[in-house]
Amino acid sequence: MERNKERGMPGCMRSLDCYHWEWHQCPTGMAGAYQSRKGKRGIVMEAVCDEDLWVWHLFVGVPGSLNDISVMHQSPLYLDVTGGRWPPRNHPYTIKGTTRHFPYYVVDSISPRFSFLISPHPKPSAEEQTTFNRLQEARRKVFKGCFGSS
Amino acid sequence: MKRFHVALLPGRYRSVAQLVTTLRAICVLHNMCMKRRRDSFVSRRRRAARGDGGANSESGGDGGGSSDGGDGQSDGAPNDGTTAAGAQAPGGGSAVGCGGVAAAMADIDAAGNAPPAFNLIHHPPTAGMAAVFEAWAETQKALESELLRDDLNADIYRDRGELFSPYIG
Repeated sequence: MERNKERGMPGCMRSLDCYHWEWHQCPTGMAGAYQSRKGKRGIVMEAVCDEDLWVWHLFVGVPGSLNDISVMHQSPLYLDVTGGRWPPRNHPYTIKGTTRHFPYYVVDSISPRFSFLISPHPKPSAEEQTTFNRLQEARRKVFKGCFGSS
Repeated sequence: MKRFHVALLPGRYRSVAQLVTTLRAICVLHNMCMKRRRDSFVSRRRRAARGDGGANSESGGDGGGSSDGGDGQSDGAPNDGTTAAGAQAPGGGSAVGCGGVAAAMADIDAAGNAPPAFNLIHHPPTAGMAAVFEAWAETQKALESELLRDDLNADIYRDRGELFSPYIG
């Protein structure tokens, strides 16, 4: 969190994203569940990683037909956050004069607007929003670098 | 992860369990590699050059379950010395009187009327559920997320020159 604070995002824990792993030998009977919107069969893995490419959280095995939101609702990370067990509230941070205790993850734009997720502006209109999106994407890029996804 | 070629290519296993085991193993190996190599990363070297050591000051791992312990009974500390009349108190402690039976009888009100020490819990179950509902409600605030993003907008735009300098070069 200290390093994220230096990079303009105080309170940011890590980057959260999902990654589809293709499964060539998927049985035909399971194709309906494991076929993604791109027509390929696979499983989904949800992971959290930091800028050192250290994987802090991994949730694997969800059928590829589910989108990122459905995967997140099954993930133990989400259950821990909604159950109040995670994240720790003992690292307050101040942004624009407001002190908050609830750290957040950086996610992509498909994710719902929960208070522990920060997604980019879907349609940036002002220069401030564009600047924010650029920095946010730079933070999320570590995930792409880690998993080699596009 | 991309260091391990098996994760870049489509999986050729027969069951989901094998896929899951493989990915978990890859992640463990990946983290082992990162732990060995991360001191040489550019971001860490930059931090070290600035003088703050580049140490990782993150707190804990993600999503760990909390372990609640310590609900058991606590025994009283054993009293050394000669025990003239030692009696087991119903509260779990040992009421040992150094002064004999009279002293033990004098203290019988405190010891005898003490409630039995069951496995006491600090909060009733309803309080625990309320905390869970409260935490759930806190996470579902879309407005809070947007407010936080707007606040970040202003701060990032103000410091954009400094913040983007590592990416520009």
